[in-house]
Order: sequence, then structure tokens, then C-alpha cells
Amino acid sequence: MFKKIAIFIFFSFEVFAKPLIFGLNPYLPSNQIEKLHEKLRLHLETKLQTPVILTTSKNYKEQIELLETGKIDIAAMSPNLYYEARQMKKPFIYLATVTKNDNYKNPKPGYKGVIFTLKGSGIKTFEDLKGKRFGFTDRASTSGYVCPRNAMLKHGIDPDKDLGYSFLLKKHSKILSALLQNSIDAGATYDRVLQEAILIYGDVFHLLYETPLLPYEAYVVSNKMDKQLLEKIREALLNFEDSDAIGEAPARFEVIEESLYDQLCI
Amino acid sequence: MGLHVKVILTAILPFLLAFFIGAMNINTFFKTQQASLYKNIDLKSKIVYERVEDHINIMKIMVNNFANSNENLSAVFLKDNDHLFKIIKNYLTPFIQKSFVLSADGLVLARGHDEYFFGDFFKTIPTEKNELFGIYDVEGKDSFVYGKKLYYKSQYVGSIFLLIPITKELLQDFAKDGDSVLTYSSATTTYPLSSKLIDDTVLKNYKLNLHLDSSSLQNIDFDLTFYASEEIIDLMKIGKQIYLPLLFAFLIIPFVVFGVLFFHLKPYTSLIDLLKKFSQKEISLKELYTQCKKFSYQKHHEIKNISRALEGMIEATEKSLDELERISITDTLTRVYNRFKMEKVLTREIKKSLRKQTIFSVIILDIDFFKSINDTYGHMIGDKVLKQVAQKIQANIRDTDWVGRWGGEEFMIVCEHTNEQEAYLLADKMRKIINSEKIEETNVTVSLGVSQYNQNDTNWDQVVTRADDALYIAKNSGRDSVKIFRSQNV
Repeated sequence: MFKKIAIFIFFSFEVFAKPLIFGLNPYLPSNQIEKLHEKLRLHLETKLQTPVILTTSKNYKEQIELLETGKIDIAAMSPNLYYEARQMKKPFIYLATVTKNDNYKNPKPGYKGVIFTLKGSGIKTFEDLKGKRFGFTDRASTSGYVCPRNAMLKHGIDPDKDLGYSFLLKKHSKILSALLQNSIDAGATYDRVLQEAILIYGDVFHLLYETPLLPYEAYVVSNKMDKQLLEKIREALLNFEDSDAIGEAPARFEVIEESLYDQLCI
Repeated sequence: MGLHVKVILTAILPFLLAFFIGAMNINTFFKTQQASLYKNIDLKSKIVYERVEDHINIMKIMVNNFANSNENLSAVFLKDNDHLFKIIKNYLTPFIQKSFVLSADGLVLARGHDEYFFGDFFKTIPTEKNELFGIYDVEGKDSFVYGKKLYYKSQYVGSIFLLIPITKELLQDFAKDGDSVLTYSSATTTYPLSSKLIDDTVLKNYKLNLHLDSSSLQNIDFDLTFYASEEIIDLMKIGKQIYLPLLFAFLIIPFVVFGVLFFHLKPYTSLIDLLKKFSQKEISLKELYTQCKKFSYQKHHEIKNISRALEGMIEATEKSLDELERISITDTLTRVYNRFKMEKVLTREIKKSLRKQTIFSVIILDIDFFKSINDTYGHMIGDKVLKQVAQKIQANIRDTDWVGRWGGEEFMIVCEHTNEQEAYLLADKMRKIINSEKIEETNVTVSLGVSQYNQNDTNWDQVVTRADDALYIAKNSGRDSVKIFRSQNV
């Protein structure tokens, strides 16, 4: 399907136009992620008059390598990954930050990381996490790994020593499934996963911790990109508006202070 | 040796020979088939064993592939459930239905067959061995388990296990050639549950030795049982049953052959007996003929033709004999009885008279001057005279009288139940008839002598002599006369 779309798009525009490869952050299964970004892809294609191909990286950190090596042209980096890239002084240029709507199509400026468990698990404080099975997502995930670890450390829990077992489950949705299956005792994800879980399963969850508001993914390009094209892309992003978007689908873009990404989970 | 015995032996000996050759051939055929069957079974048992080994080898290859990947080992170390699940999920096949990765202390890091179920402890399989193959009760099912310890940067980080649950379908797949059943039994499980195993169609039984780890479940048995197919069962039945009908036929056929031959040959035997009796003169030709007639009524039997032929032969023989007899008792010239016959008649009359006290008389007739007829007219005329005299006598005697040529020109008439007076009258009547007309233009006269049987006569010579004496008197008294012998005449 992916190939068909790519070929179709390729021949829809200039025969020899080089397609833009758009690398997505794998916080959900790739098919879900790519479906959520389809409107944006079409918007970019129209605005840039260039085929745009979506691809989801195997893990969060792979995006840095893919962008560096030119295998992707644009990367939607998780806040923490962009923070790490900045720390590593990677030659990337920030374009914009995506913003999303809540389930009622109201603009939602950011999201929160959460640590949650099931009611009746006996876990009510960070102290109770000691010796328990804990589910993280990806090691580069802001809400699924970095923030919850920071929170634990702040609350006197060393995740590497005090937790009984810590699993890497990669996908945020899998944290919920594993918790419901009793494969883990507690897990870290972002607020929307918990909100949707409550809608489906009811008030069976216990929120142990939530982070301050976090900015959404940062859309970045390599500094090797043609400046004219870079500006065209930024302009196209900022022109994007999907007022019907709900959940994880991009609704619009804005340019924020990059330094905001340096103050995550504080 | 009788005909029956010969025929029966001729019929039975080839049958007996065919029976033994047939039985030997059948026996050889069954032995060859049996040897081929068992060879085939041995081969099939090896194939089944190889199938089991192939499955185990596939598990080994997969486990080793996993253990040789640094990425996988790192994922075990990091407890990266997502990565581990994706990898070991791909190891599942229709047979390898479960895959596990455990941490060093036995915590399930990922299940290939259940994405969201992990984080529990796995205690039924020992984790202390570097490599392990055995049968264990895993999650309530006896399963083949192959596993290996995993080391990341020389540190023991966990284990991987692949499982093939032992199911009825698995056992059926191992022994899928149709004529064998692989059964598995342990303390808690037995497959298949059906009791098809207990019957007499079992050809051979093998026990599969799989070199399981000592920590495996105990008292485990894999029995590979080969059953006879329907064709083989039928063949075995034929093998067991074929001799009985053959033996039965061998016993019955001689009796049947004997019976058929006996009843068929019985008329021949009777005919042979009849001919034997005839040859021993126990029966006459006439009786033989009468008896033969009976065989002519046999329908659809060759004896009918034989008896008809015999009848024809007897009829021809009788005809010849009659003719011979007629010739032997008839005078060839005059066609009346000859002397030989007349002597027999006289002998018989003597015996009859002696026995029944009856009487008879003898007339001797002599043609007068017959020599001069011959001399005068020739023998041809003489013969004609003799013939015509004989015809006249023959024509004028009574039914009970016997006439014959006694010699030369002499004829004799034997008159039964006739006294001399009555005989005289007859003699005189003859004389007159012969004299009454010419014979060959010649006047022929005859002289006749009459004599009656006397109770003192013991043989015919006596009565004939007296008649002859009376004829002599008639000749001497002028011929053309009749004389009765009386004692006063002599």
C-alpha cells in the first residue's frame, strides 16, 4: 500500500522530483501513526509540489541517525529526543512544534506524562513501586521513560535499583494492555492514553504522578537542507490547520522557544 | 485295480499335486509379503522418528539464532519486551506454539504467543542448564521444550525456550502415513484417548527413544504402533482361510468324483458282468440280448449306444446261428429235415414217451424203382422227383408231424401222439397222393413202412428198425403199398 501510494504520488508530480521523506516518531504502532499524519502529508505535497513519503522509525533514537545520514528529510522528534539532539549539538534546524486537539476538538497546547497503576494494586506512593514490575516505553520517550524516571529519582526511588523489574514496551498503548493483563504493576505513558482508558474501562486506575505540560513533537530538518526549501516547509507547516483533528492527529503548528525543550520534566 | 479306482486316482493325483504346489506358492507369497511389509514398517518408523527429530532440530536452530544475536541479547538484558516479543513471535509455527524469554531469575520477559502476558515467573522448566531438551508440563500441557541460557557480554541474562505442545494433532502429524498411530503417555496425559490400540490388527510396536533431559517428566512413553491396513487384514484373512476350503475341496472332490464315476460307470459294470456270464455260458445269447435291451432305455448315456451295437451284433449272430442251424438240420436238395435232425426228433420223442407215457409212430417212405428213374431220366430228373415227393409229403402232413430225408430216396415221418393205425392211414394217404399224378412225366410210386413206439423201446433204433422192416415187407409184397410192423408180420 505504502509503495503504491509512493509510486502514485511520484508520478503525480514532476517525474524527476525528489520526494521528501518524513520520519515519524514510533510512540504508536506505525500504521496508526501514519494514518494520523495522512492529512498533513497531503497538505505538504500540495504546498511543496513534491511527493511526501511517511516512514516510522524502529525506535525513537533511530530518528537522529536517519536525519543525520539524510535517509529522512523531516523528523517529528519526541520532546526528549529533540532535547537530547540539542544536547549532542546535532546539526538540525527546528521548524515548528505540532499542536493537537483534545477529544472535543479543543486546542490542546501540550501533553502530560503520567505514572499510573490499577486501583487495588496496593501502589499509592512512589515508595510502593519498590520491588514492583514497571513498564516504560522507549528509552528516548519523554513521557514514557525520561520524565517518569526523573520523577522517581525526585521521590527517592532509583528506577535501576529499587524497581523489581522494568520492561521496555515501546508503545504507549502496550503499557495499558500490559497493566490490564497484570504483566506489570505500574507503567508510564502520557495523559491521553490514561484518559481514553478511563473512558473505556472506567475509574479503575490510580494516577500516581503527572508531569507539567510538555510540548508536542518538534519538527526538525538537517542543516544541509536548502534554505529556500526549509522555509517553504516551515511555511507549509504553519499554514496547516485541521480543526477536526482529535487525539494524536496534528491539528496545527506553531513556533515556540526551543529552550522549552531543555526544561522538560522539571 | 478297478476302473473306478484308476479313474479316481487319475483325477485326484493332479489335484493333490496342484494342492500342494498351490499351498507352497501361497505360503511363499505370504512370507514374501510379510517380509516386505515389516521392512516397510521399519522404514516408516524411521521416518516418524526423523519427523520428530526435524521438529526438535528446527527448535534448536531458532534458539541458536536468537542466542547468536547481540541485539536480542541486549534486549534481554534491557528487558525490552517489545523487541523480544517481535522476534520470538516469528519463531511460532503450527507446531512450535509457544516461545518464552525469561530473565536470569525466571521472570517471563516476553511470550511470543501472547503479547501482553509477561512479568510472571516460570517454574516448571529448570533454568540452570546451559542447554536443555525434554518434556515438561508447561501451562497445563505436556510439551517438548528446547531451551538455552543467554549470555550478554559474558553475563547470564536469561533463557529462551521454544515449546511444542504434545497434542493429538501433533502425534497424528508425526505418524501421518495412515497405517500407524503414535501414542504419548505420561503420568497425566495420554494421547490418543481412543482405545483403537487394542485389537489384533497390530503389526509391530516401536518405542521412540528421544534422549530427554533427566529433569523431564518421568514415565514418558512414545509408542509407535503400526496397524494392518484393510487390504493387509483381508490378505491375512485369506492367508488363514485359504487352506480350509482347499482341504475341504481336497476331501470332498474325491467323493464327488467317485460318486459321479460310480453311478456313471455302473451300467458298464453291469454290462461287463452280463458279458462275463455269457462267456461263462451262464446265460444264452437270447438272454444276453434281452438284458442288453434294458440298457437301451438309459437316457443320455453312452451305454445306450453300446447296448444298441451289442443288440445289433446279437441279432446278426442269432440270424447266422439260425441259418446255420437251419442248414445243419435241412436236407439241401429236398428242403425237408435231414437225417441229423430226424435222429434228434426221434431221441426227443423217445425221451418224452418214456417220461410222459405217450406214444408216437414212425413212417418210412421209399420211392419205388428210384434207381431206374435215375438211370432212365438222369440224376437231374431223379433229384426233381425227390424234391417233388418231399414237397407232397410236406404239404400233406399234420402240424404235429415231422418229415425228413432219411437217406437216398427214403423219407421218414415222425407222428407225435399217433398210434400205428392212425399212422397207417396217413401213410396210405401219402402213397395215394404221390401216385395220383405224374412227376416229371413219370409215374412215381412209393412203399411205406409204419411202426409204433413200444414201451419196451429204450432208443429210437428199435422203432425205426421195425418201420424199416415193415417197409421191407411192403417192398417185397409188390411195392406201392403200406405195411405196419406187427410181430405176426415178421
